[in-house]
Amino acid sequence: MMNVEPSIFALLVAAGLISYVCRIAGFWIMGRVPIGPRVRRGLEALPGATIMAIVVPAAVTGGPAALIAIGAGVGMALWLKRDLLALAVGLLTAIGLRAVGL
Amino acid sequence: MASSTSFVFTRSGLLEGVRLSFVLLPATIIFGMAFGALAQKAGLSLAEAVLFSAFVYAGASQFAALGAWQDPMTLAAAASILLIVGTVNSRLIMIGASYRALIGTVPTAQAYPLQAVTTDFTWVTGIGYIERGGRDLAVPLGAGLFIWLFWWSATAPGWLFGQAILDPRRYAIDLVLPLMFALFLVPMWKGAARAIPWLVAGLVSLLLFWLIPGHLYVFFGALAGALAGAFSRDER
Repeated sequence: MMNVEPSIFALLVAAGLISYVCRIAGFWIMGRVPIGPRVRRGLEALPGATIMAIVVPAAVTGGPAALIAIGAGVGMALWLKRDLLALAVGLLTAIGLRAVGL
Repeated sequence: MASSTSFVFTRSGLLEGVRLSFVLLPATIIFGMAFGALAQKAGLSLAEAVLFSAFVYAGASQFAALGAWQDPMTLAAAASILLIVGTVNSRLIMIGASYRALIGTVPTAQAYPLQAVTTDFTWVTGIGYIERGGRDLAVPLGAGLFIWLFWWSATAPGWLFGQAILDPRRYAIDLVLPLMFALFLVPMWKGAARAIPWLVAGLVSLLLFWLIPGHLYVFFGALAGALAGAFSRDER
């Protein structure tokens, strides 16, 4: 249970290092690129673009329940501007829809 | 823009970061436990599962890596695990790049520790805080450290009592992350013209997800969105 094989430990350290390189690479590279108006616009678009690139495939592969639930959650967020409530509504919608087989 | 702004790191900022990340705790604990449960099934010891979470601290890549896990481990499996971790985490490259536009003036000795504990959740917390005018980088640092603590801690009970976690789809656990991200987009909405990069990113990511095996779709989807933003005519 508490044993750690040396080879597995090495693998986990390597995985951690690779993750760290990914974490600093973008920051490092963009520190070496001159930031003109074009690059600035690209960087400004990046947060929303990254989130969309994560959300859209997840929503589509989650089935119709996922799409409706995300729609319901976003609708709640727009309406009441309460994130936690919107999250709860979205999740309950998904649980309900899946319970009836959607 | 940020070139003349100076950022600070304060103790109260650290606490503010902890406070801001409370909302991320339920999802963090659920995912951490789910990872522990799956790691136990895949053949990792309790200590190995916890170390995995502590070292890598990037849930999506950890789940994907378990899919390639072999017990006993082979060299080929280890190589594909590292490849999976690298490609799934390629989206963190984009996250780091977006930080540069906001906090580019910070000395590297302060920026890199922050990057080390930055993950999708705490990044969204961090950019939200900075875009609201926040200048204390101990806030995203505190959020990153606080969530990290819970991430690897939650792995242990998941490993020990994971059998109790039933089908994650039934309780919509697979949707917690997409939902939270979708909700983060709501305050970021600044009109339809500014959302064209979002549309491009979403479509490219989805197409790549369908067309090419592997995990690079987020990276290239986000890149496509950033390019669409860079070449938009929107001159402000």
